[in-house]
Amino acid sequence: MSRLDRTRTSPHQLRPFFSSQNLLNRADGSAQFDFGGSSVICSVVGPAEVKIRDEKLDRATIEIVARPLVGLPGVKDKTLERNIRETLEPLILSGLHPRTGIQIVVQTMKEDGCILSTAFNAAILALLDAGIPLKSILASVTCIIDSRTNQILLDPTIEETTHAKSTHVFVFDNKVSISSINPEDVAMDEDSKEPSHTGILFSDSTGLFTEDEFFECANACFKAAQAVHGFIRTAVSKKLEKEYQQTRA
Amino acid sequence: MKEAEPSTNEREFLLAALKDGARIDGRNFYDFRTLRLSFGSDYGAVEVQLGNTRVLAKVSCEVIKPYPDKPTEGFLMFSTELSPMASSAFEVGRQTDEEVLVSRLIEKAMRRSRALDTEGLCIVAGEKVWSIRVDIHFLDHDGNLVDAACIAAITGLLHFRRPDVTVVGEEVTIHTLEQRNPVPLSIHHIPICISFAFFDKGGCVIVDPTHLEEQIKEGDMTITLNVHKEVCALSKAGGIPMELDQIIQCSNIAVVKVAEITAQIQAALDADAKKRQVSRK
Amino acid sequence: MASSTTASLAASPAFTFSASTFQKLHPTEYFRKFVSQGVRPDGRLLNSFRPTTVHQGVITTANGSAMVRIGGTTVVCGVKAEVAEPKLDAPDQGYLVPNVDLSPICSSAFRPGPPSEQAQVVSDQINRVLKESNVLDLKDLCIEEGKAVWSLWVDVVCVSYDGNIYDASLTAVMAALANVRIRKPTYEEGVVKVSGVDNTDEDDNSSFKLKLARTPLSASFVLFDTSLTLLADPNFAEEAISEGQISITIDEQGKLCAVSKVGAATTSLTSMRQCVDRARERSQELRAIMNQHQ
Repeated sequence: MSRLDRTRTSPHQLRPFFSSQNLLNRADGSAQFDFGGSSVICSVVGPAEVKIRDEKLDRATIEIVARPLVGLPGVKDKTLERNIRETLEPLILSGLHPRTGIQIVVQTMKEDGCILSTAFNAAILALLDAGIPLKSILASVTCIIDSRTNQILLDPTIEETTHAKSTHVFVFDNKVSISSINPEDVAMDEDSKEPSHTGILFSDSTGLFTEDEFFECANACFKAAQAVHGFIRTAVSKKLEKEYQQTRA
Repeated sequence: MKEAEPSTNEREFLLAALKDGARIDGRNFYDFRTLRLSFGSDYGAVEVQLGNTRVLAKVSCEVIKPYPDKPTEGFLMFSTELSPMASSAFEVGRQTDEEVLVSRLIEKAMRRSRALDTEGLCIVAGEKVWSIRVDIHFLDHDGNLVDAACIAAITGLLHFRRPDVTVVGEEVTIHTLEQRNPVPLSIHHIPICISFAFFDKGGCVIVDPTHLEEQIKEGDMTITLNVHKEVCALSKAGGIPMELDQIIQCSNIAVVKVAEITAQIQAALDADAKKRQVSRK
Repeated sequence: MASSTTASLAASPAFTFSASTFQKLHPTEYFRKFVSQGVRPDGRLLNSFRPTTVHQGVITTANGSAMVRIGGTTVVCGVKAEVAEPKLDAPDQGYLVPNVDLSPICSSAFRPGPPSEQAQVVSDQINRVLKESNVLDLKDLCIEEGKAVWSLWVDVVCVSYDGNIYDASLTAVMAALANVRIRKPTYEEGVVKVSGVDNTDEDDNSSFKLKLARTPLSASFVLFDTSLTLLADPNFAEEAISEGQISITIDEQGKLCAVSKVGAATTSLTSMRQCVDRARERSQELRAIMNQHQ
């Protein structure tokens, strides 16, 4: 079964990634992340001055501003802001910068499906670029279940999404979660043949699907997220190498 | 966050350099920064880089009902909200004076100069017209947002293609991009904004100021011209008073710049059109 | 060393304080003491939900309405049908617009003014469940193609807020939609006529009900502490100290309509499975409660 997106041959294939860090001058950190035809740019300012109303005594205040490509910011963008904030806030070691503000602006540049996942990946790259201390690094992948073939398609385009019976967004971090190491879970996992370290940091699914389909999607996305993790790692190390060479020159 | 004032050292250095006939980024007084245009994969998406200033324009369209008093006129809307991404001095939901000025200038330059034929957007009089929306996103602010936004907006409109429609009696069919080649908008002329900043009580005039230059300037002026040497808008809001001769001198400089920029926009559009043709084959 | 100091301090009468003071000072520690014994401060077991009631038809002026109570959380939902013009690109489809209002009346945690982020997020969640799970065919709301359609305004007002607003709101929305009666309109030469007076007679032929393809209902959980213990149906205090929230939305055939997990903690797939199982039981219970009052 071929995909609607004819550039790809397998249902589990992701579109080519692209990223670029430190591309804005006025922000403390910035990054662009692309999944094929979808592109999100993200800027980070901080730790900086914060409005007294938002000041927190023991940690930094994290503010997310999401801006759509077309039209005025609406409910969708508010949800995007909430999802990104709730996921990033715990990753940022905000206790190191009490009474400051960290502002993250997320701007969609090109829209071709999976905007939430693209935004997550762009945001983490921008935070890394800004040098904000983090607990772990996340990677996000979206998948759909095609209504005609019941197949899981990873990283769908808008065109493919129109035939989806359900959409699933997952975020995974790059550390083995403590909760899944306890012996009970490992025993469980041997039966169900799931990677025991699969820990979900964020998940958002809508549509109509069965329990088994949900966990199949989670596993498929987890495997794909490893590739994104690898990509983020390479992107950061390449950037650091370049900076190191520049300082020596 | 409030914008930090430039330090006395920065200010003195910049002014001293100008006195010696030099700008701190090495440009001559009448030089524009390097202009780069890049197009997205879909129609009407343009990213403009003017030195370190970065603007993204995205043109979109939808079919709506026209106003009853103007039944044959389509809509052209601009959204120019300044995002905190460009500078943390911009806050969400609170318009700064700068933002009001920028939006007004773009509105005047593009809409009031009738660059776009809004009557050509009519599908069925009094029933259905096209509404064209230009979302301008400011990504990085290193001065001269107006010129960059104006170039982005007009290039976006030139690049944009709307779906083709056929009208049979009352029946309106909107063809998808696969069914029929989309059609370009009809654009009367290409207005280009050229901004100047004044220093030394008007004794020193520079083109395309950077953010630092904008912070220190004594006055400014924006001239909107097209390639036919027609003035579309001229805005000098406040700042030091200028001699009439100087304004005429500025417009002479602007004529040259507009010709250069228009040629560059055309070249970029042609190159993109060629690329699209190749990829379709 | 530190523990002995605490012990000696606690022993002195000046440093003993009431349970409620302790809860305010160390909310997590206070909860931990209960949770380690397998109960919660309000007497519930870890996986039990609060007493829930559903009343339909509480607002007589609305086309459909419901009031839902889950413990201390009370929401009222009213559905109002209005005649509207359809969109040009969807001439045969009506509108279904859910909106959740969290005003200062329900809790001091909310400020007056434009809708809070939480209110917008809950509205969006409900909207997506209704749309993506095809609860209602919007073509059923068509009066005359391209001319007139029904627009259903589904407004949820929270009267009292004590956590788990999503479960309460979704239940109220589904109960209110099931309660909707709209009188049959006639379309003649550009004028929509709705004859007669509003009455809610069951056998009245002049009105119609909505055909709901399914009734999605949800169950929410929070993850507590580093042990990531699952607490079902969190109240306000439990939400405030949670490490993450999980919501599972299920229809009557046991199909999942939405799954969401947000927050700090990483959840293993095992605990996700536990949530789905518990949500299955809960949605059956909730359905029984809904039908009992119908």
